[in-house]
Amino acid sequence: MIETAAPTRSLSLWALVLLAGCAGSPSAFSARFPDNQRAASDALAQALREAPRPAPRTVAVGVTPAPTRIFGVDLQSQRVLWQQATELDQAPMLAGTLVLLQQGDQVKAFDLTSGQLVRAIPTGGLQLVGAAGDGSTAVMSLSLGNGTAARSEVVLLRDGSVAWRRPLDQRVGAPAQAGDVVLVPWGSQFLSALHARDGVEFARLRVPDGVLAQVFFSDGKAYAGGPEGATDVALALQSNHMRGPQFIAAPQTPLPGRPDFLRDVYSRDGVLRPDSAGHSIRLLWSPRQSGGLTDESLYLVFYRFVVALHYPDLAVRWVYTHDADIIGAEAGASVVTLADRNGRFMDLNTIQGKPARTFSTDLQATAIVLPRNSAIGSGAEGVPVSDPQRLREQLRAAAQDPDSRLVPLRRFAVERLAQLSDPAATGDLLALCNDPLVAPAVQGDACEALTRRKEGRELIVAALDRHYDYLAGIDVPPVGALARAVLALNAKEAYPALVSHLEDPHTPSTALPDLVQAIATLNPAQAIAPLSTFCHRYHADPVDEHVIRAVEEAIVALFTVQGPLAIETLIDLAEDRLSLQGIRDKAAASLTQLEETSRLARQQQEADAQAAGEQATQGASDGESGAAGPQPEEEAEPERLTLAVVERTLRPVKHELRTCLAQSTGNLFHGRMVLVVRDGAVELVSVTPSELQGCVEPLVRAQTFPRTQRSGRQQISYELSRK
Amino acid sequence: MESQLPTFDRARPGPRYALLGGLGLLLWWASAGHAQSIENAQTLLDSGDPAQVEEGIETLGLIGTAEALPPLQQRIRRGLPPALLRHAIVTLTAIGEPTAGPTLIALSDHRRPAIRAESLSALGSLHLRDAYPTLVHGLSDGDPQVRSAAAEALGQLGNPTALPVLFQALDKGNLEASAPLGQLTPASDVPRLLGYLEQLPFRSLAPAFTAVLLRKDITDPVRLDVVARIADLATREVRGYLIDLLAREPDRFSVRVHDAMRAAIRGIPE
Repeated sequence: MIETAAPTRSLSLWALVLLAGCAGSPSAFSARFPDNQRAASDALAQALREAPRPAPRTVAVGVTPAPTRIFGVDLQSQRVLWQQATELDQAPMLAGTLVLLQQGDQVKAFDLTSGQLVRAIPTGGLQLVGAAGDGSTAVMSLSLGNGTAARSEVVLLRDGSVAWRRPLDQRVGAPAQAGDVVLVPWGSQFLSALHARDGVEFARLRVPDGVLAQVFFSDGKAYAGGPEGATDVALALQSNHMRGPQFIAAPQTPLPGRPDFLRDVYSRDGVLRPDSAGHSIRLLWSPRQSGGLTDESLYLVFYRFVVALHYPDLAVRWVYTHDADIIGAEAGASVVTLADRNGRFMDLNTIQGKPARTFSTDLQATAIVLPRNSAIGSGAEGVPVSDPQRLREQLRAAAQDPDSRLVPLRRFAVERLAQLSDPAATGDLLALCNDPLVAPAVQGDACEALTRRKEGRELIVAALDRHYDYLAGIDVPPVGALARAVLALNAKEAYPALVSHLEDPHTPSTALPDLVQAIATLNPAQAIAPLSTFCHRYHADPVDEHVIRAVEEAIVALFTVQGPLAIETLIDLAEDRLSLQGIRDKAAASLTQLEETSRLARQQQEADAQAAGEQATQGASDGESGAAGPQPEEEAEPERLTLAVVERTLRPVKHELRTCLAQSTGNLFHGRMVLVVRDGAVELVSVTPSELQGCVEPLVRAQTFPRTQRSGRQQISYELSRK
Repeated sequence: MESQLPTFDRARPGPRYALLGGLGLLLWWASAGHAQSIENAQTLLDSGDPAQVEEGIETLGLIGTAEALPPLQQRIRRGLPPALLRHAIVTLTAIGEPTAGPTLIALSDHRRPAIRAESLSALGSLHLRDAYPTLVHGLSDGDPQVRSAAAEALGQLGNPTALPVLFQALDKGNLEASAPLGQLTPASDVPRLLGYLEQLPFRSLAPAFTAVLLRKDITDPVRLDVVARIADLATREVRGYLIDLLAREPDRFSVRVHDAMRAAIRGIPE
């Protein structure tokens, strides 16, 4: 029953399809042709299942530099079959037994095995965007313009002659053919199935959720897709969607050179010129019968590198470095076939990422187009493996490559190196960060990556022990990055080395702000002295903007840490008229903030004391009565806090203040004091030099300053002198 | 200062005490004046006006005694703009007190190469033995001006332990190491110095050979060897050098060396 039912259903489906095709419309790409019609879709699915697999080809076609020639190379016999001098506007395309290439307003078809010109086909000004073939038939799509101005044509050649042409007013993508089925993507969302024999459209798929730019056959299945991903056509026909369980999504993470997962032939750059970098920057993959990708891998080709990436997480499995630019590549099962600029062909074993078979043609080339499943030999089976140590060495070598064209890949290598848990990777990043010959972008990435490393702490700390030495030929380590790294690691043991770099004039000034921050954070208590010295030394000396920024950072740190020395330094910077204005302002602002904090604390203290006193008075006066005695007559309030007021207030301790100076270790003649007084209450006494602080402050605080007419906080600087 | 004071006979105390009393009065007056000036200078240094700060530095320089150092050192520690800082270093050097050493050593790692060079030169001028490690470190500085200052200062220090590092500096192209090498190289190592004639231009090495030829501890055979090796170069530059040296230092050479130099001059065509 089952055996006979199938042909009956098949016949009825074909009848429906014929009815749809004979309704007075053009034979293909009619606007009235129904999309996603179940019967037609089923017919297409069946046709795909029954279509013979295209015969595998073994001939690759290359293009030489000027004077331009194209040549055919048989990968099996490993010899050059033919060479043909010709002009061409874009890279050749393989289509069954033909090689197609555009020359002005015509497409020339050459025989794949002999290189003989078979036919020149006028294009009417259209551009060849894709071609495929099976046996003696070849289908090509020609297109030009966009939107309403788009014009296209699909042309089928049989035995070298034009069998039919099907025009359409839309952009058309790269077609595929297997037996009698010709699949043509067009208008971004459509995939039309035409009979190879007569060019009649018999099914149309429209997907709302992706771009259909290319179609190809692999291992007996048809796949369609674009830059965002690809789908098994048979499965898409069931759901009328691209995205489903069968969808092979393009990597979401940008890869070096941003190669398309499947080239978008609708775009301006969709068709490659013979010398395009697109031949050297590619993503290779082949779909697996059961879904996903063969070997669960995709391969990034980037000039001289091939990187095996696990799909879909894109973990690097290995990195292969070639000695010449790769200009042609195809992926198969456990093998990637490469062709380079020197006309060499190679199978790369994808399990180990090592060369397997290789041969050379000695022909220089700018582009080489390889047939699908083009392995020179048969590949070994297995999933690519990753040896962590080998991978680290490969990534390091890639990152260190001096080729400036490779910077995107080198940065990618640094990024992946930084993801390795091996502490030795930290050493590699250090070396890259510290290598002046490494491209700045790569170096910057390596330095930045260091700051996120959790492994190799001792290597990072030890790197800080190195200082510039002209005679010994030792260069400055990447101090800024190392400072950020030790800070991230909270590596307190690095503190002395950090201070040593702060004091080293060879430490790049760009690193100073990071150093200051690390010093202040890792050891706040001890940081005050070196930061104060640094601030004093450079607060009046604009060596460069980084030094100024470092001083400002140090001011913030001193403000945070506080303590007498820190406050003394802040006062110095705020009061020294030689200070750079920005630094002076910053120090003054910090002091104001400190004083405000101090005032609030004192207020709170006084309020507490007053509350306690009132409680005590209340207790004592419970048994007493009568008014308090007469208040002493108050002196008239001075307008504001002046030197004269301070002088008068301190008169009772003038002698003691002089003694403070006389008994100082430096036998000082002068000292300075900053007083902050609010409504008669002393909020801050800061004395310079600091050795006087302990002697002077209690004497000053013991005096009662008068309230002034001007309310609020008042600050005044007062000279201490032995006079 | 003490050695310059007159000595007195213990048997005649009268005039001795009278003179001492006078001197004491003079010192009191001088110290009172100094104290006043230092106080004034201190005020100027604290003024925050660059012109007044400069005046304060100059005032301390004019005082020129050890008492003038602390306010100047304190002002340097508190930080100065580069021009005033250089002025302060020159003043420290002029005062010539070894207690300036720590301040100058601290300044030898200033971020401005000119300040580093200035402070190293000052350390050399003050002949501070403690500065030796700082000066050796200066030979490894990234700035050629600083390296030169370090080499010169090491020569002034006259510490022969600096020889290996000075040779290393010369190897690395620090030609300022030439003169100190000439001053410090022992006679036995002079051939090593002569070996550089094949590697470096004569004008870079001339200071070394001048120093060797003028040193008292160098014997005539060594001097004659130096003259002969220089004469072998037979360049106009060498001829001019020998003529100039003989003219400048006519009495510093023995007859043999003098004759050898004259013979060398005659042997080199004009």
